[in-house]
Amino acid sequence: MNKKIISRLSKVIFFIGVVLFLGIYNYDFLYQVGWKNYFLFNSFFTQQTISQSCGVLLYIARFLSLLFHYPLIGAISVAAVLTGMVALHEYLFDKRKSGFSFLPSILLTIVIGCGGWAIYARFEIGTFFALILGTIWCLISYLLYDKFLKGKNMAYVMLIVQLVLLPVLGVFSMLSIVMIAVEEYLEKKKGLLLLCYLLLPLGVAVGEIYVVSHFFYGESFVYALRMPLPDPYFTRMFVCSLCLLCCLIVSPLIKKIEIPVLDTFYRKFPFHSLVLLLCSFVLIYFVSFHETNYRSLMKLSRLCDEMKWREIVEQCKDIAHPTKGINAYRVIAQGNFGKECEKLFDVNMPLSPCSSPYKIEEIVYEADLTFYASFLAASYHQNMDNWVIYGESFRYLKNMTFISLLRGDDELAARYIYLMKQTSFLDDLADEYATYLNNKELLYKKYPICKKIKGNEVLQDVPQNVFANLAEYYLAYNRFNNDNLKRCVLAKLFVKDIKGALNDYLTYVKDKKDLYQYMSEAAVLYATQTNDDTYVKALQVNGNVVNKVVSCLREYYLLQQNKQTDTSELCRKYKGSYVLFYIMDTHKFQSIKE
Amino acid sequence: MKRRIHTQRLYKTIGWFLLNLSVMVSCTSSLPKQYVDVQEDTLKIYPDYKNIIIPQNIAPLNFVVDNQADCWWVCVKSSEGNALLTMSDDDRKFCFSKKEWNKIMSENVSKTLWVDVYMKKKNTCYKYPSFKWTVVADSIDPYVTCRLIEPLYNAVGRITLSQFNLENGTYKDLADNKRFIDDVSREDGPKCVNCHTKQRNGSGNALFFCRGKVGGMVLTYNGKTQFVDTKVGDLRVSAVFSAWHPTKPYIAFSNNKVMQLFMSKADSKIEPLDFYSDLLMYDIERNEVSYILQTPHQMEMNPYWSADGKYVYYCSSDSLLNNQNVLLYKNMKYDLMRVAFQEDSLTWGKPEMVYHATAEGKSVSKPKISPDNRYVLFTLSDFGGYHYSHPDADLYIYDLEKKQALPLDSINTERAEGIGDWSNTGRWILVSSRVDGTYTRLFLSYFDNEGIAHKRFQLPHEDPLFDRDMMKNYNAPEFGTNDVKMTPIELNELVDKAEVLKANYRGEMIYQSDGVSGASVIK
Repeated sequence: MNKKIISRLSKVIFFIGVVLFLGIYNYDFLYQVGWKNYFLFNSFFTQQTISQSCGVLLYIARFLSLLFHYPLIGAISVAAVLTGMVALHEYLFDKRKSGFSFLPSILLTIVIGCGGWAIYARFEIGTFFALILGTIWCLISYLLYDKFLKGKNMAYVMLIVQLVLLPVLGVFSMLSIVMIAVEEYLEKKKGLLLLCYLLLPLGVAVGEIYVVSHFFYGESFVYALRMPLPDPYFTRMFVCSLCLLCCLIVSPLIKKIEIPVLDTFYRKFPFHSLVLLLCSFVLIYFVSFHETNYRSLMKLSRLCDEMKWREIVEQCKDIAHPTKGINAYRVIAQGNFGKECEKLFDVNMPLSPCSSPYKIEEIVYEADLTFYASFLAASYHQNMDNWVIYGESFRYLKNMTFISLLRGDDELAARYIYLMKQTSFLDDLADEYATYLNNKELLYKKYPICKKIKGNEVLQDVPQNVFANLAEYYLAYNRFNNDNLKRCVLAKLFVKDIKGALNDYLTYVKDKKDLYQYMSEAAVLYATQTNDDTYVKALQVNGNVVNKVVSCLREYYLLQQNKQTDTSELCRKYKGSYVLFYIMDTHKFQSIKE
Repeated sequence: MKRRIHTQRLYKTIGWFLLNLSVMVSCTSSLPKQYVDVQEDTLKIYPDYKNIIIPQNIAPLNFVVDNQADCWWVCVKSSEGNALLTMSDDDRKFCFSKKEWNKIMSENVSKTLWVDVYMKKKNTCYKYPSFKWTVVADSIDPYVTCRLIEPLYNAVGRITLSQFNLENGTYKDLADNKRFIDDVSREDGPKCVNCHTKQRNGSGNALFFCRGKVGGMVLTYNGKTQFVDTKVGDLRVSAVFSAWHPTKPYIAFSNNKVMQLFMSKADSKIEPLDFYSDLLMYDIERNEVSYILQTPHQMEMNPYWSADGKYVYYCSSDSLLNNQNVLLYKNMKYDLMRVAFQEDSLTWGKPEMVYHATAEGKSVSKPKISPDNRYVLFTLSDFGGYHYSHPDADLYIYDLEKKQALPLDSINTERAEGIGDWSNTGRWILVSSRVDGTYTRLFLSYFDNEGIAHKRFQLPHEDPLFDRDMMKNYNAPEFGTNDVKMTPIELNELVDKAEVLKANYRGEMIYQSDGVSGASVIK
């Protein structure tokens, strides 16, 4: 097989690999990126976006990020662009086809793959495409210089153009200059042009840093200001982006450098680029963010958007170490799927910690949980808070529109629908929502679950942030019924507020039968941890339950003492016992006090 | 070669055809000569600028038409019926040239302009009933400053203090809290900036508050800007609502401990309330804070000086809220009161009741005294001191001569109305209104010699869709006669370099800190 075919084959493999990695493996992540993006065709949005650093690039990047709304199309587009970038880089710098040309594209794939929780934080969604566009700009600039401007006076014009474009392209215009300066140096043309190419950007950079640090932000912000780079707060993405910049700078060097040993190696092993490529994909997988629970949560969030309750329940059954967010979606699905809320704990619960190390998880599920628990105002506030703190996004806009429609806040909904119509892909949804204005029956017909949600909504106007006790809050309403109260108690158990749940259960729940099993085990657990058997007595807990819980706790404690992680046998032995759920992730768990 | 020429010809033909087609499809600039009169006024324009009274120095009243048609024409005519300005658009958006607009305005002072709107639908032209713009000689203050903020601010996002130019429809940011970010770490996010208030004598003296680690009162006095820390003596919180003396270097302020409730059902969505508040004064030249009213069993807020500087008007409530009784927040009602100021001795008289709103089961908020000292403009609602989210909140005017409060029906709607400001001449009122129950927009209204407020109209912008597109609220708006020169960059420099000037405290200390929680106990 000749070199050309291997080169083409490796590009095809790269394309397919990126499509599989982004479009299939990271499908749910890209789906969320699409919804976290925000782009409107109106002058206010344009002005706001363009006025920031690298605004034009970010504006175009956000527009292109609309593609992620269709994850597969988005993945194919990115893969095609990245493959094209490989070809261009190879044409410009790596005619030996050493495989180096894959590096920028691989780094960009890693940056996208490292997105993770960042997309829910104050992260500029346009960053992904901005990096891609910036890299393309650098390559095209170099191409123009190399093919048409080298050794001509026009090279000075290009320098000026790049400097003028600094506010638009940020670091990438500098990078283009540096690449050409490196090329000039390597060509040993140590003349005026090189001097200009070295001194002018240096002067501009120093000047800009001075201006920025004195008039805009603190010094700590300067290095990130003129770059459409991810904030250093998102370390992996930031490091990969810096590597990308370095890789581009050394590219002209690769073109010139000659290492005979390597050339011999390339000749002997023409398949080396394929092997390197496969290694790269392994690298991409391991460096990218692939926490299992994160991926599950992304999927559950999408399924919740699509109201696929059965799938959510099925999905949750297979999750070995569920987090609060995953449990939240299970509660939502079970409630809407027609199953009783009490089934919350009826799953195979392992004993490993269930909480996510990422507190940011709450941003994903909280608004959904409150919405499906009929706290429409709370859900609206959460969406608005997320909008304010973590930035505008289609998700929050859509949620606020739907909640406003359901609340009967039609004028407000109309305002949001007006904005939705200004996006390219929420247009159909906006038209659909517009039909629900002043026509709630149509809304209930299309989304039957909404009738239930609206039906459970509280009637009285009560402030939501003054009740220390959730059940007390529920009781403030006339239409509060036993079912809702049970949901409330379960909500407390869900967050492992065992004492609070026991209190609520004893004080407020009239029909105590349904929840008795959970509460009796909780009471025994509470007694073992605090030496307070009030709840055990109040609930008249059966001796068998006490023994079962105590022996379960003992065995669990022993495992902990021996630092054993394999708890599968314990799970099997105490299957159906809810105490296992209670003690998971309870760092204060102590040995049993007799 | 031959084929190439043919292709070029084909392209040229297609291009010519498309050009002709576009000319044929787009509107012609001349008004339709034949049309059918639309009998009912079904024309919907945004903003609603129909039949309003406008100042001669107002910016072009650009608008969009919300009705559907193929083509639109607008013609502005003089009271004599002469066409002054004609425009056509198939995009329904009419933005007048500033030059032409200013000419028309200056030539038609104290006259009425008529606006004709035509449309073309299925090859038939229609004309809607004309509406009028009455141009009055009373000029409006050229600037409005306000805060742009998201409607529910449980958290602080990006907040700007912005200045809108009423004479040309442009705006600029004066302060931007995004620039106060100290660190790239997420924990230390942007700070709150709020409540820009100016001295009404055109001196350029102004202040606003910047909260957080780099916070304080940013005071510009006699051209010098500095941070002032007003939390001195036994004050439990620093200044919140402030008002400048019309001519002297005194600032009255209330220090409010504010809490926000998020409502489960109501249209108001958010309910701010005070746990305690008193009235104070900051003497700029002495750098001294002293109490105007120190009342442990009453709450005072929203101070405002009379135009002659002899009184401070304020809202006062006998109800007290705390963590235990916060659910009784609807019992919290405020009366309109005033207290006399003896400038010679810097002493204060006894509080006087001006309007006993609680006797009518109502509550007063945000009193503003007209420049001629005759009227007090305020909002009235069923309860509370923060009415901007109460749908029942309406604007009222209290005639200090007739001692009578009347609602401003031409301004009030079923949504929450809030007060902005009086113009310098007292002929214009700036009003805020929650047009869709959540987002606040600004309106102007002419207040004539007879004390009658006329139909309100929305603040003009270069882009008539500005208010529709913006997802923020106008907050704490105020008229301005001078262009505020400070830019966010200069402000940031100030924040970086300024040392905080700690004010001195004059008076007795009756509140004591409990030393643990920072809360105070009353002696």
